[in-house]
Amino acid sequence: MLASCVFYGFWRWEYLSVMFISALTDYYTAIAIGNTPIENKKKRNYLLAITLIVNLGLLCYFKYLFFFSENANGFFNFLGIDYQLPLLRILLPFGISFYTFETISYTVDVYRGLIKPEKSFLNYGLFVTFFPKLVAGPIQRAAELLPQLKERPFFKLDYLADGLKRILYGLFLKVVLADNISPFVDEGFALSPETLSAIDVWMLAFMFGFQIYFDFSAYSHIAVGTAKMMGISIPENFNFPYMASSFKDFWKRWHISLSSWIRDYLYLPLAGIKVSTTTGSGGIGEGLDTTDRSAKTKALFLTWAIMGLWHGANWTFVFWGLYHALIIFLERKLKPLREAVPILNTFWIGWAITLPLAMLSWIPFRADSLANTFLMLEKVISPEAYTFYTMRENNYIIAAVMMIFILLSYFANHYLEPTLNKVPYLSFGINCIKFTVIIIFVFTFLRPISQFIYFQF
Amino acid sequence: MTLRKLFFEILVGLVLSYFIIAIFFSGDRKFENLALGTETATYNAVDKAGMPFHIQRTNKDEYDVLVKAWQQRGSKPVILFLGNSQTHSINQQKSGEVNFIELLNRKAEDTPYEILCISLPNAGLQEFYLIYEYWKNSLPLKLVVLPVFMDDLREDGIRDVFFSKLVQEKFQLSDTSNALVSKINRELRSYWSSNDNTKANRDKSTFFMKETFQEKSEKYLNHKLDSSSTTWVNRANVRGEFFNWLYKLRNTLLGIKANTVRKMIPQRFEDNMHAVELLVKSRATEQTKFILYIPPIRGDAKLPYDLDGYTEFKERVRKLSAFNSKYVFYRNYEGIIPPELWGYKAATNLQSEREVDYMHFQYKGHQILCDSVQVLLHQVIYKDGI
Repeated sequence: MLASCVFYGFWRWEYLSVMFISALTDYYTAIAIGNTPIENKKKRNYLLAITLIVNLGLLCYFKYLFFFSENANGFFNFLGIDYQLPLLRILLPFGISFYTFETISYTVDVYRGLIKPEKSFLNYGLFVTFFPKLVAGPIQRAAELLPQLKERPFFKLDYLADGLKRILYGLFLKVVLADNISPFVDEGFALSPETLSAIDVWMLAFMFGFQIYFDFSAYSHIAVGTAKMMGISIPENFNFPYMASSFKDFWKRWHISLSSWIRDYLYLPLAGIKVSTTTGSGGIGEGLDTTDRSAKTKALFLTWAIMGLWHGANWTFVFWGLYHALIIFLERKLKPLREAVPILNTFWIGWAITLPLAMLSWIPFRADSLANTFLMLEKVISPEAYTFYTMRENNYIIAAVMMIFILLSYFANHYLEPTLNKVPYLSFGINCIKFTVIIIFVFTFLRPISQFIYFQF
Repeated sequence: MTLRKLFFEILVGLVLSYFIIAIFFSGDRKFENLALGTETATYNAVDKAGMPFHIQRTNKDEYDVLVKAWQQRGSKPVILFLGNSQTHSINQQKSGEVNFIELLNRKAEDTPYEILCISLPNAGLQEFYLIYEYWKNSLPLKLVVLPVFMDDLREDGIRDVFFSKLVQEKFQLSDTSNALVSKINRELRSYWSSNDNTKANRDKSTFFMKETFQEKSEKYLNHKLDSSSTTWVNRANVRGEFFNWLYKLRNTLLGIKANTVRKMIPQRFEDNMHAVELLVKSRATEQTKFILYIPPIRGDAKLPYDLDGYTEFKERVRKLSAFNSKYVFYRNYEGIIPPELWGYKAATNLQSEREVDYMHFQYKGHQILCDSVQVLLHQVIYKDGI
């Protein structure tokens, strides 16, 4: 825990206090809930409310206060009320969105009777502060991480090798791919949307889609690898999301720990479903099929609007969330059609429809405002915007190469590697070359250019 | 067993990469040689005392030294030359050979003017516009000489690496009603590091690290490695070589050569022409005159342009100058350098060793260009005095 605090303190030590307010609140309320009989529902609800108010209060203060004040002022102006709230710019503590969700899930799991409260603050504090996942996830469940932390496994060469491999993969994705795509994305989004063509918008959507995937999955690789070196297994956060054949499938593959969290603590409760297990795996995709109730449509849109807002205090993120909800909703409505026409149910047709729509959703995620988002999306549906392009040819070539890279790595991972592993000497040779190339590239490209995108969420 | 194998694979990878890095990242490496080719050298004009007339970036160090040198030389009214690598490159340079900016300054010694220059590799005309708007605030610009390269019309935007002083000072252009000016301002703003958590800044994201122990320790480590390890320093050049190889690979795969016709990108073409238009229509006055010239280009090889497009482009530049002919002058110097004064550059693909260079010529070419421009300077400004 001390090492984790030092790690966090490298950024700003004073913000450790925010994390400990959240952790201590949940530590004590969870114990209190655990000591309160299930029949005393009122007291348990009261204790749960304390947790939610403190955690969400901290999150709202640091992340949403400016957004709420700004929008409230706009509303006051609209109503003609001569009053303005002060606009306070507050530095967002690193990782607050992640550790807040972890502490909330812990207390809710205790409340639901899925886990017992942890008596040792050292163990619980380590669960909250555990440095590999502290700043940008994967979001952990106490039921999965705490028992491992308590066990404190001994060092093993196998753990070291597996962890190193994941760290090397992560560094390659971040410093070689994400950081080198970033200037092209920045350049494109800095242009006035009026001047862009539809081809540019598609290219930028794909390029940012690649950048954010490489960037975020890189962090997850490094987090999983660092934990693994200490003998701790934390759930995977990505599983080739751009090979999804539907949006439901996408959410089983993208930011799995968040979508699993959203499934268990937002979507299922809002849809009126009782949650009986707790796991950071699986994603929300499975949850979408667990009920036929009409409440699930409302739950779907509300859940995704909140999911959007979790990513940032801006209406563009809400729009991003609702865009996903709308497509999932349409997927549900068109299910009878897909079942009636078998070709529509094939993987490749699903992939060919899902990929561009998923990439297009990155436009509101990256654009500076809703106005720019709409201008860019308008281009996509304007036939005349397909007759020219405004950026250098390299941008389009890089986007195509990245897509090929993702397809090749998917096929290598699923088909080539299992085949190669049957010939140990050959796979040994190829893997030695692979790690040599990765290490050289990481050494060459390691530069303090940018932080991980998800550090800000 | 599988994980043991993995451990040895990583170990072998580490050992092999160590030796490869030790061999290939050592020694003296200059990326500049890759960009220009080994036959072409960079040269910035200086005075007899070695103080600059000519820089390649508007950053604090170079710009402030230039202005100080200009003040020490007597703060004469300025003839400002804008340029790209043609201005600061000499093909097959021999000892004592200088570029046309320095030659022009030698000839300007008896005039009441001083010639200053900024030339940016792959310069864009929007960057020229920005340079003019910033430089005019601290230097009395009496004449601005602007080469309009067809190649440069493919460029877009502002590169912060050449404008760090403007970024530091949070410089903004004033004519915000113009869409192009707003675009340039927006781009400059995107380079600012600020303390607000706006979405644009979030994506830059490094501002979150300002003054933190992490930032300081990273800087310290980088500085230590920079000062103690050539291998570490050489990484930048290896990156340059890698990107150069990728560029050549692209050209090889797509069959692109130095004389392959470069397609114009309509929006960029229009934005760049508009940048010139802004200068000659609203900035050219009795106090500040402008010269637009079509720069020399190699004439003994097939031009890498669509010829109709090139003719149309020259005509458009000529018409732009004609709009304000009292204060804006036009010359076409495209054919003034004879074929034997041009050189070759490193190949832009993986198949050949070298290719004809359309942009950079030898010292004698600089002399010819100097003489031609000198005649024009005399007509436009020297004959009138201040």
